[in-house]
Amino acid sequence: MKKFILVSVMCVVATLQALACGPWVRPSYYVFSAFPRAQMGDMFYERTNQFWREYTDGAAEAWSQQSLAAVDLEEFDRSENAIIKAAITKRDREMTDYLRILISYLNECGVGSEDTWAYPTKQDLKQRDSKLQYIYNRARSYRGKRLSGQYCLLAMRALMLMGDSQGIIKYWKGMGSKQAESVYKDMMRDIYAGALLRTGKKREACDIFAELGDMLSIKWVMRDSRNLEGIKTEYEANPTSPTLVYLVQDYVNNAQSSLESISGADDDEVDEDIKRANQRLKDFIPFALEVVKQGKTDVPALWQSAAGYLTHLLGDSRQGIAMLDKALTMRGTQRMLDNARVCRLVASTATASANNKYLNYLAQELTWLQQVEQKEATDFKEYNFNDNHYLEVLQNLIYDNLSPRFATQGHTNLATGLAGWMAGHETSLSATCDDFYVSDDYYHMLDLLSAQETVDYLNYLEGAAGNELEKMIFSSAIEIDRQYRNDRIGTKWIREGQFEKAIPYLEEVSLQYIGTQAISAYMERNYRVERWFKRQRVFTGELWEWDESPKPVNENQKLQFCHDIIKTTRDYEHASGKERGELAYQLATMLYQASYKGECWYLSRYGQSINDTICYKNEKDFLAEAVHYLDEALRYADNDFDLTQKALYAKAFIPFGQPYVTYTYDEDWNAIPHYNRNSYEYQTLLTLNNFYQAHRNQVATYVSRCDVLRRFRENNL
Amino acid sequence: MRLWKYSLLFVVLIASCTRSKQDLEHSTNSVYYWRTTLRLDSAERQFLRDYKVGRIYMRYFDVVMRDGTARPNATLRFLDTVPSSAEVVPVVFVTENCMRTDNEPQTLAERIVQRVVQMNETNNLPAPRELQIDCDWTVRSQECYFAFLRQVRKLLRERDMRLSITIRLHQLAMNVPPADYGVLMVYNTGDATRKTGRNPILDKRDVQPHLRHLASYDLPLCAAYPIFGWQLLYRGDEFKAILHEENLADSSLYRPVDDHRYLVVANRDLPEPSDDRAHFTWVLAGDSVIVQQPTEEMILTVRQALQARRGNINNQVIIYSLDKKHLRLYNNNFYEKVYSR
Repeated sequence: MKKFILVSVMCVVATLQALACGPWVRPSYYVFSAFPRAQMGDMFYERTNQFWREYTDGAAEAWSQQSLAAVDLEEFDRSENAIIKAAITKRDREMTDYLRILISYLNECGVGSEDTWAYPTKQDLKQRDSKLQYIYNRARSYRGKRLSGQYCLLAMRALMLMGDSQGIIKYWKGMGSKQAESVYKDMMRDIYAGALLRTGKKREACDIFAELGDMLSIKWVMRDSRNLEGIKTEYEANPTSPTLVYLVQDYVNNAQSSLESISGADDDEVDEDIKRANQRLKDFIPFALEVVKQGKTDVPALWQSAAGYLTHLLGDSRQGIAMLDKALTMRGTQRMLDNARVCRLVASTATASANNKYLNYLAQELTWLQQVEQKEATDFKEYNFNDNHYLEVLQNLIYDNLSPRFATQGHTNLATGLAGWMAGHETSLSATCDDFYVSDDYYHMLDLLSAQETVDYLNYLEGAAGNELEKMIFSSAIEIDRQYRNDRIGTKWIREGQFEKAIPYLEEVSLQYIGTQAISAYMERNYRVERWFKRQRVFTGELWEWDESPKPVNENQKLQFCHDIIKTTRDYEHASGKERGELAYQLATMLYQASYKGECWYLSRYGQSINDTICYKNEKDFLAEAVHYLDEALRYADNDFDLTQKALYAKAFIPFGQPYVTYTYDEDWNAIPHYNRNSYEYQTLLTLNNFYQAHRNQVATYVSRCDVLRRFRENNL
Repeated sequence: MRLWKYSLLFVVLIASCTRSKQDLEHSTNSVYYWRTTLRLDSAERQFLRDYKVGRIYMRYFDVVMRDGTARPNATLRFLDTVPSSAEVVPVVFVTENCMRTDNEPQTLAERIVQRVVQMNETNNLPAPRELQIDCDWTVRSQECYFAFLRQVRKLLRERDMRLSITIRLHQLAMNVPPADYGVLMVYNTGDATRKTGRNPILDKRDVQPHLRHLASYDLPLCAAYPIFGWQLLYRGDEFKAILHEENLADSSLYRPVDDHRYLVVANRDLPEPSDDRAHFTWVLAGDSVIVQQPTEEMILTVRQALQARRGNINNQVIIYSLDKKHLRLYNNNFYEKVYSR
């Protein structure tokens, strides 16, 4: 079972993804994992499936086993079920006999328990009881060896349906416990534990659940013991109780969840009671170390690593690492030792710096993590890579921990390269797993780099490795397509206002490549059209009829834009008087259209949303530039009425700075306006209004009929 | 002549008053039993004995829409016997959307009656003498619901059984459903999903506006009062869940803020009591848990207010619901008062 720590984060992920510059927020997964998470689900299902897969030479699917319950015994010989077909084809009489009796049992399971309109009559129940008794007797009378486990399980299941807990306990002791080890024996033992639970032997039952790995049952049964007092009580009763594995892991995971939920919050924002509760988490540490010291536990590595990881979580990572190093030398299952190693690796990042010694250690541990990740995927096939503990550790470690940490320390290339290595790893996994998707973190990071940083990063990938981690990165980082990189770098230079630098990159981008991009659908727009006068609709249909599929293009509009704006800027710089004013107005038009608010936003980015802001590194504020050129247009308008009118109107149109009116609401939800007379919007509307008042009979209709201006006047501002 | 007219008017008035205040013929102390398995523990049996409970209104199953069809759901499993001194009244909760579709009300009525009768027979209970239908019907579903009730009543009469229904407070202002009598549900009067400062289970301020319809409601009535509590989980002002018997004394997870409010001080996933054990509810540090339980005083005050408007309504009182964890919330003296006639 996948457990998310910051569950509430999930609620905002979808919103954040809609922002062009918004970060992808990944849930923080539990790190401490002393038993496979498959044990929080149905841990017998895959094993029985495996049995049937082998029996049918791979023909049985997971649903073949489930669908046995729906088989009509009268149609048995004609059944299309892969398991039945295999038994019949093999002329396996022993198996067909078993399957028939198994199906009889599965048919009976539904009687009286299903919510159907035909409520069973007394006669129905009597028949069911006699059928169950028959199944029980048949199961008991099996004298073979090959299917002995299956028949014993069937007998116990029949007793279970008859509600005979004492019978189950007796049968397990007399027959079930003497069977050879198999999934069927484990299933019998699980039924036996359930019978113990129903007869009041909770602790005994839980220990069996734990030994079988049925942690989900323990979670429910021990729901009132999920705290330090509960752990102490269980330990006092039995220091080697397998239930403690669940309780200890649960304690550490809950601690991680609680501590992370307040990390980053200001101290005075956190309730004192919550702070105290988090402080009390540390009480576990001396107790766990005492358990190790007493030597009564058979898994000291579990307790030591729990204490070590909790120490790290509570802020003392150096001490935590030392304790985890010690845990690695102690007794425990392989899973527990692997867990201690994972915890040690995660704890090490708290003090990580990009020196070669640490980077070599990282390379070694990341390689090992990939190996255990692969092993878990092999051991628990039904989970594949979408619910793989070690893969989630890797994702959190790289994308959410090491990459941001190295970036903050100024190692941008290393940070990006590490994410690229992870993306490469995920890409290789996605090739083997249909429903696994590569995270977009790496591409998001690439998008956020400035143009020069991107150039530097690409050069870095082709340089010489200085340590083992860089060797890994350089050999495995995901390949970046040449067209893709040139288009990206060119676009970054555009949004940074470095149009000359963009040209050589954009010249390398083919029209065919541009035609494959989603933004090509918008490229029929003209960046020289004044947005304040005309709206260039690309999609004429309703919202749900929009076709945003890529479209072929006839020109590289980004390249054309660069040439155009360079030339216009040059002409403007050499012009004077009204011509200079006219060229300034053209520049304002082009820059506005290329801004995040403009209709040709695709010139400077790859997506747009109403929440966009100036968010990229070194991004030039094209809106401010447009306003500047409009001021220049007014300055050089030289009493040209038309140019003055256009420039004033354009200035009032551009959404820049604070709005001139905001609203609050009273308790009856009546809007109360608040006017900001210092805002850009107020000032530009005021100027336009003064112009209108002065030239009421001359102004164009776009001024005289402007509804925004009319409202502004109506507000008597 | 004038005197004769006035006398006639007086007789009519008396008759109409009497009609609206009809008593239940065999009124008795009663309880609701609203679980999915029938298993009475010693405290519950003792309660039935101590308060001479003569009638147990027992939820047999729900009827819900599944795959476009009305189907039974959460059928009661009979794992225990019922004291022979108490009559069992089967109750079927029908979700309102079952009354909003093209379901044939006649067919549904037949299925329900047949199933209830069969359940008694299979589980060695005497043939039922009554069936109660519980449905939060609305104006939109009224027509279908009333047609359904008429059919149920017809079928029951053939078996010499009577039909009772639940009446929610707001339904007092609506048309009267065709039934032999109604049980006024004097609980769940507020909205648990909103932090209003009022007790969502019972608050007299929420009951008060409905009382004006009580005296004239043209159906014999008795009343059901709540004896249960809720642990309501809120994140900020947002309602998240009803917790299932959480141990609020666990100081590693909860800190009491006042008599009925707790602060969640850590994060934890709490398993839910469902067939799918993988279901859980998250409680997060900073959440609050508000324990809502109507006070004895509130229940008795509302009881009195109802009686003032409709003198016989407490001739039969039903307690919702028989459950040892609820029973211990109130003291013996209270039960005597609430059952007093």
